[in-house]
Amino acid sequence: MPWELDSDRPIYTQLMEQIELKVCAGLYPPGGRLPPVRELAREAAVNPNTMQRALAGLEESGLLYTRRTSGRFVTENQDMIRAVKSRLVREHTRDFLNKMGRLGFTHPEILEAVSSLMEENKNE
Amino acid sequence: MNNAILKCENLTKKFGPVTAVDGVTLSIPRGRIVGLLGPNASGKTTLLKLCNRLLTPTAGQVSIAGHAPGVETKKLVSYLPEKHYLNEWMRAADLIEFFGDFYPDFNRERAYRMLEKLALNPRDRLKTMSRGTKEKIQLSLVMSREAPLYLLDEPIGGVDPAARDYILNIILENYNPRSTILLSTHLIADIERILDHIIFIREGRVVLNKTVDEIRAESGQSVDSLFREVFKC
Amino acid sequence: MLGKLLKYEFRATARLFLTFYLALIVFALLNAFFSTELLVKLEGSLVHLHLAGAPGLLYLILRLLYFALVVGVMVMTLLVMFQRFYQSLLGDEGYLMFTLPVAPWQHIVSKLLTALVWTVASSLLALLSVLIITTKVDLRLAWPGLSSAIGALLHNFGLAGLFLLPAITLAAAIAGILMTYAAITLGHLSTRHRMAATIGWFFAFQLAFIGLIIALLVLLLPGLIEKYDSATTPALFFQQLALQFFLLPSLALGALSFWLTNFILNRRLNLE
Repeated sequence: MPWELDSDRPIYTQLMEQIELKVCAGLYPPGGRLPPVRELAREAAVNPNTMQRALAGLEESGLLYTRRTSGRFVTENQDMIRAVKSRLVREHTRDFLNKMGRLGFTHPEILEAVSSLMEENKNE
Repeated sequence: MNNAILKCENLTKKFGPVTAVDGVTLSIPRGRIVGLLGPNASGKTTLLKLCNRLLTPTAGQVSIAGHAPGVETKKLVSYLPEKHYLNEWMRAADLIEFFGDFYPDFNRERAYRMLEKLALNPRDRLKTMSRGTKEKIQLSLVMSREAPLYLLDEPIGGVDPAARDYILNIILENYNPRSTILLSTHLIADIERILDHIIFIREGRVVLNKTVDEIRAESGQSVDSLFREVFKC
Repeated sequence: MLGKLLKYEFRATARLFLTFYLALIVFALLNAFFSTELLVKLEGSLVHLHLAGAPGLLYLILRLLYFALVVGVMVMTLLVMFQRFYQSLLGDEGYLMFTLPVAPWQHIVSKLLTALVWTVASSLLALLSVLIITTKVDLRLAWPGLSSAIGALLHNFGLAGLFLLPAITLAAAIAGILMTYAAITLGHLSTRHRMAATIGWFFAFQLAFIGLIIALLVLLLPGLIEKYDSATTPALFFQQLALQFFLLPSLALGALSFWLTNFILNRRLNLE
């Protein structure tokens, strides 16, 4: 899962989103340890300070926590991860709906398109 | 406690009738990666040379970790000029010895490791190398120092995209959270992700001095597009 | 740090000089073995025989090449001396040298000492090559000539004078090098016509040097002559002359040049 950053929004908010995504996708499993800041920064090709700031933000929200000596971990609280997941689903779906709305599709049309596409994918 | 690693106060440099740097006042803290951005001939190189005392200011002053430029501050600054300053007759290994001999903070192992990554034989003479390779060696030497302040003049200037990634990687890999990197460039898109802080300079004056995320949050655009807007190029 | 600077300065120049020295010795040996003049011992006395024709021409060319090489070594010594100073401090290499944690005076001293060593070495090598040719490689033959020359010097200038001679030469060499460094550094200050400015400063220094000597002569020589009485030997007189009119002006102008160069490199450096 590569790091995808847009160039027109603050980097640290995008980093927070990307890490949330990676946690939801199980790339960083609950209770698992995160790579050190330097390594994450290098992976994402961003400034270590910005990565640090994103991680601190996620710590504040409770998704991550620090053990003083051994590093930074993903929370073991499954409810919290589920909450992040449902928030992400809502956000992405809302974006999608907005986009479709701008293209002039009505809700039934969108539902129709989604279900037919899902059907196709199932058959593959 | 004064935490600034680099300070310029009303720094001015004139070349005859031309004012290259015009009353620049700056304070750059430790632990930052700062981009000095501006079109060609905006005074970036002159500013960096003034900080190294390769040029004598017409007015104003520079201080590094609170000291006026001198032998002591030269121990603190690792500088990459825009010129080729290395001796053509030397081998890569000779250069590593040279840097190691003069700079107490030079890490020889790190330098050899970087040459290895570049797939360069330390016994090769500079004479036999391409321009791009020499630039990479120069940057490797500069980044092999463990200095509190790096002044890099156009580190990604003339190189191809693959080399650009290599160079950005070198900078990120060797960056120490207590050090500050001030780098000048006019190729912003490639580099804005690794910067904390941006200084725009035009006709020798600072026109903007903000963090990358401040710029993106306030203007809703990348530093690169803001730069194009400000400088209309 | 000075030691390290010297190490790299010698390393940067050694290959060129040693190559030239080697060539000089090789050509001296060739000239010693193949000469247009054959020394032949005939009934106890030495007789010169001149070779003509093709071999003679060949030997003549060999001799000419040798002279060219001697001149070449001297010119190169001078050129390298100043080119090293200019290129490595005021040229692109200056970006490296002036970002080293080294004081400017150490740069000047390292360049000066290296230049002196090569000047002395070049002079000795040139002398050696002459001796090789004139003695046909049997250097012991040179001894009588050398010892009588030293004897004459000793007689005319006294023992102190014998030491004064190399001292004056050395002081004049140091002053000459430092004055040229100062001229180059001053010339670099002007933004245009650097070469012309450097040459201008160079002649200004030379004139100042000669002017100083003449001024000293005018002011002090009458007094010195007045005191010249039967108790003063020619050797003593020479020593006084050398000290007052050559050694002191050299030291004075050398010191002034050094101070000026150091001041500019410290406070007025502008590498463009």
